Order: sequence, then C-alpha cells, then structure tokens
Amino acid sequence: MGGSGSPDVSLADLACADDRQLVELCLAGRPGAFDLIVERHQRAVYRLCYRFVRNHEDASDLSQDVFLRAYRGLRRFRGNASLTTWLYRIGVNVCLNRLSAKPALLDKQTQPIDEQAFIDTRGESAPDRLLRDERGARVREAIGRLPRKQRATLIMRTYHEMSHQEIADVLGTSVGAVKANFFHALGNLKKMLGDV
Amino acid sequence: MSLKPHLSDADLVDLAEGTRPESSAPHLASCEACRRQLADLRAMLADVSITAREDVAADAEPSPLFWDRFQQRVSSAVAAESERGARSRLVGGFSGWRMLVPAATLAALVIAVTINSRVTMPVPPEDVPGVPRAELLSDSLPDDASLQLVADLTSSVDSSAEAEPGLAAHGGAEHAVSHLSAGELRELQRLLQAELANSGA
Repeated sequence: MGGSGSPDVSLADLACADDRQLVELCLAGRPGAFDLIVERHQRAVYRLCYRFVRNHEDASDLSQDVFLRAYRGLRRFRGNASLTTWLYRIGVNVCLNRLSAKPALLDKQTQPIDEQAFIDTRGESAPDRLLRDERGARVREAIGRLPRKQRATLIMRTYHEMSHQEIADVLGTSVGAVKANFFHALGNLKKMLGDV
Repeated sequence: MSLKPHLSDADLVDLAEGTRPESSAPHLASCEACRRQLADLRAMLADVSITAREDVAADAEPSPLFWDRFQQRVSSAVAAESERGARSRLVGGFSGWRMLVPAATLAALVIAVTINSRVTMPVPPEDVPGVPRAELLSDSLPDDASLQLVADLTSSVDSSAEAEPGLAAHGGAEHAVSHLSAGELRELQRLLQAELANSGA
C-alpha cells in the first residue's frame, strides 16, 4: 500500500490490530497489513460472491476483484461502518454489475439436479426428494431473475442471515427501504413461481 | 370494515419474520386483505428459507489450499496495482510535457514556415556540430519575437535523432507528429490556431 512511511509494527501487533487499525496501517504503508485484511475477510467475501454466481471459478474471480477494489478505495473507507459491511457493499456492487454485464452467469446458477451437491435425504421418499429438488431449482432460478436490489436484499437476508440494519448499511439505504425491498422480492417470487 | 390503514410492507415483513407478535397489529383481526398478504408472505419466506438452508448446507467449503492461493493472487494483483499506480504517477508528471512537446514542435514548424514565406530570411549559417539549429536561428534573429518563440520551442529537439535510418525516436518531432492520438491532434490544432493568432499570421 502506498504511503510515505512504513510504521514499525511487529507482526504480533499486526495480528492483534482490529480492522480499522489495519486500514490505517495499510494506508501508512505497513507491508502485510492488507494481506491480513484479506485473510480475515476472504471467506465472507467469497461466500457472498458465490451466492450470486453459484460457481467456484466466478466466485473466486469476483472475490479477488472485490479486494482489489477495496485496496484502491481504502482511503475512502470512513470507518463509520465496519470493514465487513464496507467489503459487502463492494461485493454486492461487483456481483450485480458483473451479472448485468454477463447475463450468461445467471444460466450457470441453475445447476442440473444431478450436479447439485449431495444433501442427506435418508428417510425421504424418492418422489418427495424429486419435488423438493425441483422446487429448489425453480426458487433459485426465480431469485436470479429478481431486480438487483431485491435480489441482493433477499440473498443477504435469507442466505447470510444479516439483519435489516446490516443490509441497509451495505446497500447504503434505510431499514424501511430494505424491508420494502424484501417484501417486494418475496411478492415477485410468488408471482414468478405461480404458487406457494 | 376496518377504518385503520392497511399494514405497511415493513409491518408485514416484521410479522412474517416473527420479530413482532400479531397481537401488536390489531388491524389484522379486521382486515382480510392484510391477513391474506401476511399468509402469502410467510409461505414464500418459508419456501425461500428452506432453499437457502439447503444451499448453505450443500456449499462445499473450498479446499484450505484454495485460501492460500487466493491470498497470493490478491497479493500479486495488489502489488501489480501499486506498481501501476506508481508508474502512472510518474508518467502523469510528464503527461503535460508529452502533449506539449509534439504540439509545440509542430506549431513551431508551421510558424516558421509561415513567417519564412513572408519575411526575407537572412541566409542561416551552416550547421555547427553540437549546436542545435534553433540556437543558431535565434542568434541570427534576436529581435524577432515570433522567431524567438520558434527558437525556444525547437531548442529541445535533437534533429540528429530522426536522421537515423528508419527510426523516429520517442520524444522526437517526427515520431511525435506521426503518433498523435485524436485528442492530441485536437489539442495541437487548438495550439496552432492560438499561436498563429498570436503571431498575426
């Protein structure tokens, strides 16, 4: 990271630094500070990206893009939100922009049933499992067709179990707007699926 | 019939998620539309939540090796970004010169030609090895402001560099003129017009 100096902070101190301190050290040119930010947040960022694109390769590329953008914009990180929220905000924007630019990614999201990861279905009859799988595939496909903010809100709420306030922080909006988005997302899903 | 307004989107979401009890919304008891909307919302939410839980449970965590490799990838990308940033800052410092040198050189040449066609030029002295032609020119015409400008503008041009067979050195007049972008050409045109206006041509 650019900066005039390289503060004398030991590796042990670096590891103990909180996110805001790491950002400051990063801006001051402390080598390794940004690596630590990546190490701490890579899983969360990757999971978020994966949720949007549903394949490892693109999730990995998008995650890298998120961190690169974070690095470029680190000076704009104000510290009034948590670094996680800030990274999520970048992540949501990067994912939605990528999906807008490459709609083909949406096609990848709906995996054929046979390719879906194994779920323990012992005790479930074959027809039941088939119905559940089909239903899940339709729901996923419908989520992929939601308007951008509704999709982002739904994913953060149901997949990441983020609070409405956290989602509002990520999207830079109000809690009321998040709830309205969530409400409309569920309503639209109902219309797309045609039943419940 | 209910006289109270219907429940808002946010109210319905809170009720569907169970973050507030139905008892806090007495309107529900008297409004069939809101009850139906809440029931639909709950059903859809349950459906999506089941799918989400299944997806999360089915997500295979990438191999531990992936994270090391990922960190290295990000680290390399960030290092390349830093390097690019440093280079662009360095180049950025010269970007004005990059625009100015070819534009000024061409402007000087055009002005020189224009003036040359109007003024009876004294015979310039022969090239003196090691001394740029511009200096000789300025020495020979010290009182002419426009020619002084030409001399100033061209004094940094090393004409010998372009003389090498097939090569127009970077930064040289020939290379500069033959490698102008559309933006540089526009800027050059503007400079030329300004210079010609100044010289009264």
